[in-house]
Amino acid sequence: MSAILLIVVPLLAAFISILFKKASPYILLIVSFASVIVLGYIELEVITIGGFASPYGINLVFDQYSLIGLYIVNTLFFLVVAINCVKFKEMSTILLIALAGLNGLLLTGDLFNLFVFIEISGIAAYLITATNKNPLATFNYLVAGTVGSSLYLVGLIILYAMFGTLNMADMANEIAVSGVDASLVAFPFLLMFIGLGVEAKLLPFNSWVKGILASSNKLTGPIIASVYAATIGFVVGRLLTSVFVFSDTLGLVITIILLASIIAGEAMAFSSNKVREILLFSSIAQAGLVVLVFLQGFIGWGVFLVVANAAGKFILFTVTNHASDELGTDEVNDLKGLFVNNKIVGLAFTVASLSAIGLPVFLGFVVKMNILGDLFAEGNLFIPAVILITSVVEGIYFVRLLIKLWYKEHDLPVVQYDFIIKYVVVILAILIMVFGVYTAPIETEANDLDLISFVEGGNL
Amino acid sequence: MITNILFGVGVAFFGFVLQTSIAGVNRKVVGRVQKRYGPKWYQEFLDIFKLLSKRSVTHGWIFDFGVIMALGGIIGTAMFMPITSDLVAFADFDNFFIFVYLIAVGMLGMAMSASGSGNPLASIGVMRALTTMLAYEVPFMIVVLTIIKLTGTSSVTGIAEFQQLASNNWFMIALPLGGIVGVMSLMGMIGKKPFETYIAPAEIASGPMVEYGGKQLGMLFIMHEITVFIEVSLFVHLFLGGAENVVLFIVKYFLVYTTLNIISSVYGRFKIDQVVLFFYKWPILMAISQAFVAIYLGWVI
Amino acid sequence: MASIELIIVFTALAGVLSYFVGRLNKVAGSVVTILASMFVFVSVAYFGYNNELIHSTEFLPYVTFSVTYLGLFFAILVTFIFAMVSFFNPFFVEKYKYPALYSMLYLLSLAGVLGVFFTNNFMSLFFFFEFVVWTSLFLIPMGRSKRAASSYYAFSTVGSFALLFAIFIMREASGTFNIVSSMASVNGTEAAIVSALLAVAAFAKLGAFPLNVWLPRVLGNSPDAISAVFSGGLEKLGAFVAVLALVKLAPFGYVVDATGLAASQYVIAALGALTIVFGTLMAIRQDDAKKLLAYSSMSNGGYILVALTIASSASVSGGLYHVVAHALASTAAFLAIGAVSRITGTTKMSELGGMIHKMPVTYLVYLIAIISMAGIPPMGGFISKWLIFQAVIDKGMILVAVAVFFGSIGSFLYVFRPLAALFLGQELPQHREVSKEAPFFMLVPMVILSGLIIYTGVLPNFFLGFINNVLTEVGVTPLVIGSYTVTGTNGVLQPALIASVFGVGVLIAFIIFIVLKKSRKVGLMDTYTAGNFIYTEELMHYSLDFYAPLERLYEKYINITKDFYKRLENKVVDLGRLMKYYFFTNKPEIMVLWIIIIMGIILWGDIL
Repeated sequence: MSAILLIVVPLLAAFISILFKKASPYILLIVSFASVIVLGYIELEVITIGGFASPYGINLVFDQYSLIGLYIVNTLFFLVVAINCVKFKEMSTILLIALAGLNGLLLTGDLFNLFVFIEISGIAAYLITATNKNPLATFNYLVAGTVGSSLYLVGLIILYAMFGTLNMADMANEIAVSGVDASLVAFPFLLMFIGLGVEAKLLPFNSWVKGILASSNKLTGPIIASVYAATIGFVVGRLLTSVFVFSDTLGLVITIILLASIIAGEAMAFSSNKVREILLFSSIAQAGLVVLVFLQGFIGWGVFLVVANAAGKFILFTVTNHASDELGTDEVNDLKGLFVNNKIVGLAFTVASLSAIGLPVFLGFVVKMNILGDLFAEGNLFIPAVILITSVVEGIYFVRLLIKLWYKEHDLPVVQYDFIIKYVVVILAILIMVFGVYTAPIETEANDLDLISFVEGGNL
Repeated sequence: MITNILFGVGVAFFGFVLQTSIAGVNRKVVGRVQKRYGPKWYQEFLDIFKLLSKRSVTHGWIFDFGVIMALGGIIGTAMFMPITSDLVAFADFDNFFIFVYLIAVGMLGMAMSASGSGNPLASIGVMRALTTMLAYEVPFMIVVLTIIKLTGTSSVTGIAEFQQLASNNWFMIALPLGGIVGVMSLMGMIGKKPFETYIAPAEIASGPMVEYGGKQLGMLFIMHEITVFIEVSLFVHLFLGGAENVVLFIVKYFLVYTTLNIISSVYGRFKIDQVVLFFYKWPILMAISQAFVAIYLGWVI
Repeated sequence: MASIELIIVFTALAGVLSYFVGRLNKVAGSVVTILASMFVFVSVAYFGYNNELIHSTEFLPYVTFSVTYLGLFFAILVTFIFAMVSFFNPFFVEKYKYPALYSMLYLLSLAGVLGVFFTNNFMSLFFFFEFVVWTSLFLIPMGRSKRAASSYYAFSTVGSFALLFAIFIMREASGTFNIVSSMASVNGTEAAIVSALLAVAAFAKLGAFPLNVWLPRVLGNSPDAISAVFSGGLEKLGAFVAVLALVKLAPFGYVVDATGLAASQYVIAALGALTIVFGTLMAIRQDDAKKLLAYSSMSNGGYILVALTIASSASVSGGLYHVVAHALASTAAFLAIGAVSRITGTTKMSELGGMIHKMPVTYLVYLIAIISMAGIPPMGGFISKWLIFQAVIDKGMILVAVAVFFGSIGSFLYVFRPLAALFLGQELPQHREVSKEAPFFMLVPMVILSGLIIYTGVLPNFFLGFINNVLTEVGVTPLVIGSYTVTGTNGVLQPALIASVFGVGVLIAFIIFIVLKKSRKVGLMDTYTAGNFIYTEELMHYSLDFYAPLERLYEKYINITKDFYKRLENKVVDLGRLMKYYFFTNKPEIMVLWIIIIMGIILWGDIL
């Protein structure tokens, strides 16, 4: 089987689902489940599309890196779908397109093709977020997303003009071979970085996030904050570690922007009183951290940071958005005591947030410690200090939130979680705990990823 | 060991007799200062024995238990007190801190008993006594810190013997500022005016003592006399070079106690917060500068 | 023979078990905590004392253990505290919101604490440190305050992260996480930074000034048993780190000739002194007995810091002995207050009075505890304070001495308050009917603790002998101890003698008392009232604002740390709001503007 099926089948299914409106949710469910299963049967390879050899034709890179990304994204996507497919029937087609776009983003080895998939998945995202019933925010998202992808495109065009190639590996190769000064390519890279930054929720480019996630529902919350965020994390990771070459100054500027993004994200979350706002600002900070880690060149642990975030944010957003959908409010004070009668869900939520703040026996701890260790090993003391200080802030608002949600005596909010949500969040929470204790496989995997180099033809 | 303990009990008894007599004499002295005759010198003994012989009331077991603990603690403390450098029950173990802290057991017993009486005036008295203690104790301890640092021992006889060496002055002279602080703190310790806020007879009906009568009051009187004995002799040993023989000790003791009484007889009474402010202004500054000068600069007369 | 790994795994599994048992029956779940923590204490103490603990690991990945005297000292103490306090769990667990969870977290934090004391690897140390933080974190809000937990989290995480930072710096220097070798490998500036960072960790865990805000909140508002555990056990993690930071690493900075102390020692001692003073002044003000004890814990933490930073044989053994003495005394005091609160439902002194008449044993336990806390012989607190005084005097630390003496005298003031207002005084009618002595199984741990408090005060040599092993291990000259005597820098103490002389004094007083005429028993309301007739108990009970005249002198200045952190929090909130205002509008053009501005700055400045 070929990895291209992961893109083609959802696209095809999307068209079929238009024809069979009634069956569309089940098609969606089956296709998304199938893409998780199929991943186990595909061999790692580089797929050339249309018969043109790689620098000239478009290729898909199905290597270790994309495999992890695909597993995570497809699994989470399937879980989101499993929870929501009945309620959001009309979204089935669009979700299928989104799946195709996301898989494409993870697979593609071509910079222009990447742009195409950004657009596909972006358009799907705009439509999905329309279910928020907050058209203005969706419109803003659309504008922002378009501006971002245009900037990316502009940057790409400049690069193409300079090096005459669009293939990622080839581009990296060309830049290295031509020996061009890093400051010359800085401008296009900056443009592309900003373009991706819009999707990756980096600070000055992310004004859309608040509108979208603050009014998100059970579907949009997890899908934007978890699935999309994970995908874009993987994409940024691949570009930053393998393709882009940043001059020292630009690297420094971007590092500062990222640190500012982290600090501001945590501060904003700290000053929020609404559950979804807290989570969204926290995910802004996390996104900054992800990019920062990739920028420092730590592929392996960067990947697991993305994974840990995706799993955690999935639980957090699913739980809170279900509650706020039911109650019509997401003020923390209105949700007080939410978990008193929903202990199972509450435990999963607690595990996810404790993992997010990096407390031991949870996955987040392992990831955070290794990242900090790597940073220290590079002799970098400033970045770890910022990360640690911001995690204190992060911890405070999460703990505060947890305690409010767990402790209240009277007038408890009435929220029923159906069994699917319960199963899904509990399984994820258990996974977070299991890999927080049984760290050996993650560590091997992270080390393997660090060793690979993105040569032409992928990292097989 | 038994002889040591018996000797200690003897010291406590000696202290009681000495202080009670001197207190009686002082009532006469103060009387003369205030242009009246004053009672007989043995009046204090009469008072105590009269009280001990009377039948009184009790407010429950803690009321009695506290009195026993108070007197017991004070007797225990007095047993450690050296009279001269040779007349000491437990040589080498007359550590300064034992006096400061074991005496507190007695104080605590009394405070407990007074609070157990259920009279709010007693509690107010206890509050004032403790607050006063917080005021005078710290400057005093700083001066003693200087002394211990200079002599290298915290044994009271050791300190006294250090001053008896020909090359050394009494600490009253060697550390003039500290000596003054010592006098002021001593006045606070034995509750002389202007620091007698916690007794304040006309104001809070004698404070801690308000509920007592009969044997309990008698025992507390004994306790008070021994307490004063401990504190004044501590001063004698720390600041006035101790004593080579008993006579000298009694003379020094008498002089110190009488001087304090005469000073106090011309003062009014501070309010409780004034007591605290007073001690945390000049005495503590003097004590700290004395300590600094003596320890860091080595200037000792 | 017992393996540390198995003990820790056992504790954790027992925790899980107690959860499931607790789901079936609340009380049964908490009985599991008693059995498990008693078992842990006995095995750690017995096998540890006989050097029979096995430190090899077979199941846990990455974690390695070793048995040091320092770790053993703390482990025995803290497991003992956990074991004693666990007796209270069955009586309180019904009141808590999540009883099964309570039992589980209780044992899990015990497991974490053991890990901290026994691991020889810094990374595991940090792991267990944080594990203890979150397991104990959720115990706190089962009490009265929901805010206490987040401030506990904030401060202890600051501490943990300082520790982590230090750990990584040491790893860079030594290439290993091993505690002994990595601490040995740092020197010069690095050692100074590491020692400062570790000190921050110790301060945060001990609740020392200026990282003190959480301690009174947590101790004052946690469930009664948990306050005792925190004060006697978990807070002592700070002392453990302080030993690493202050004793094992050399002090740094300018050395003062007259005393031989380095600048860093003066700084730490000064902060310790401020801790003492603040704790004391705040404790004097409290109306809530638990808060009062909480502040007293803070001030005692200051003593431990002052003692450890001086790092002489008298001071370190004094500091470690103070750890023991304070753990025993404050646990006993908290348990006594807890016993009262179980019956009356309050720990506010203004709402209580005369509990002694119904709870005499609890009263005696509290009395013995506070005598020790105030450092009065013949209790354990006297020995440690005496050693600390010796060291402070010997080093001529005048200003620190002011604080040390102030705290010591001040402790008379505050420990007396619950005694007077809560146990003594008028018996208030609202509690008269319901009050009765605590049940037998609550009295057991309290009486055991009291016995130990007296034992440590009368015969300190056994514990001091053990502490001498610790001293040798951390490179400090051991203290000279005889069979009954303790030799400090400038004097010899014979605690047994003091106790027996005190006994003789009491005997004499008792004889005087008993031979004289018997007194007539009268009621508490039958008192001198200057001719007025008062029939209301409350009016005859002086307990509110006990030290009002004293408090008035400083109440304006006392809240500076609390205010500082409040302002800091507000600043962060302000920053967040500002950011939201600038970056998160509903207008995409603003975002575009930001993009242009950023690109403009970068291109215009020609910095690429």
